[in-house]
Amino acid sequence: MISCLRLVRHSSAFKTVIGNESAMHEIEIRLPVLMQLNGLRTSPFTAPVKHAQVQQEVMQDASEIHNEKFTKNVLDKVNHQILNNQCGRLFAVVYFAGKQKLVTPEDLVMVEGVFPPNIGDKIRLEKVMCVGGLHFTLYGRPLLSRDLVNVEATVVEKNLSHCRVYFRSLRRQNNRKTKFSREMQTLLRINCVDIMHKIGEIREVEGADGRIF
Amino acid sequence: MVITSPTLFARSRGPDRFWKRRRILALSAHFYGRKQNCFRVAIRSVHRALSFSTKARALKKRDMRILWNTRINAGCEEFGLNFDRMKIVLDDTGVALDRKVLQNLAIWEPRSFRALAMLTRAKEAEQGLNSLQGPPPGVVTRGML
Repeated sequence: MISCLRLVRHSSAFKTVIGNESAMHEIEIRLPVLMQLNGLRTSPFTAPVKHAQVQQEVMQDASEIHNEKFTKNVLDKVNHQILNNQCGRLFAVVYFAGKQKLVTPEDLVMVEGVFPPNIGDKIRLEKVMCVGGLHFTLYGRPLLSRDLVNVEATVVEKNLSHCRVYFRSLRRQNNRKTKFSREMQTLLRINCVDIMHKIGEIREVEGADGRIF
Repeated sequence: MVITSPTLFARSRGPDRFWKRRRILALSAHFYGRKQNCFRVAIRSVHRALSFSTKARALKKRDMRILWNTRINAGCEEFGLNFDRMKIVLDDTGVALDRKVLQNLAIWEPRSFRALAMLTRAKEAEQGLNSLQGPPPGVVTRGML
């Protein structure tokens, strides 16, 4: 570019365009710097870019569709078993008297310690953490809905345990302590473990609803 | 050992040396050798036995917990897990089953236990932990874990 300018410098056409010799000299000095900056500058006359019209389409993830189908299939199968009583003998994990118990219908369950219900009382065990049948198991986080599972039990027997001896002695110290204790033991008969409605439905009220875990 | 007079045995605290000894000897009735019938030897072993049984009531709870841990770990190893990992996930997801129930499931409800193991692997894969093989097949979380 510079060599080109030098060639053109003495021509008459050049003098008519630029005119001044010193101005020409200045251009020659600055040109390399200007050349470097040239790439960084944005041209003020950028032509507007015309994009081609693109038709947008919402694609669903193939695995998501598969998962939805799979979930629906599983729920349908479980619901079918619930409705047609094909679950087999259900088991449930219930939380009562401060302990978790895995129970099935016709089980005898012992509760140790203070337990207010009397003999013959029918009680419903509301804190169900897990219920399972032949082909499926439902886990609560931590409890299943109160309407979903119905576990009923009858108090069969109330009695005291055998005498437990608390004995402590230190030899040659004349230190000895003996205590006797008999705990209250209550025997419950589990009458039924039932699933009351279909799963996979959104109920009006869900959660712990009044139960304290 | 037959106690001929239960009433006298029941109130054996007082001066009657025979019934006082009966009380101890009733407890040593199933011991071996002179510990069974000789009072001087029997009372020592009865005290020993009673203090053991008192301590054992507390120890039993600890021992059972260790046993349950061992059983659950054995169940977990079948699926390439261990109980520490499973417990963290169960706590995270709100499944609050205790060790006693979990070991019961591991033994008697193997498919229910397998579901918990798969849940653990799926949750870990979601967090990007221990998941070089990716999430286990057949688990749909629907982003609810």
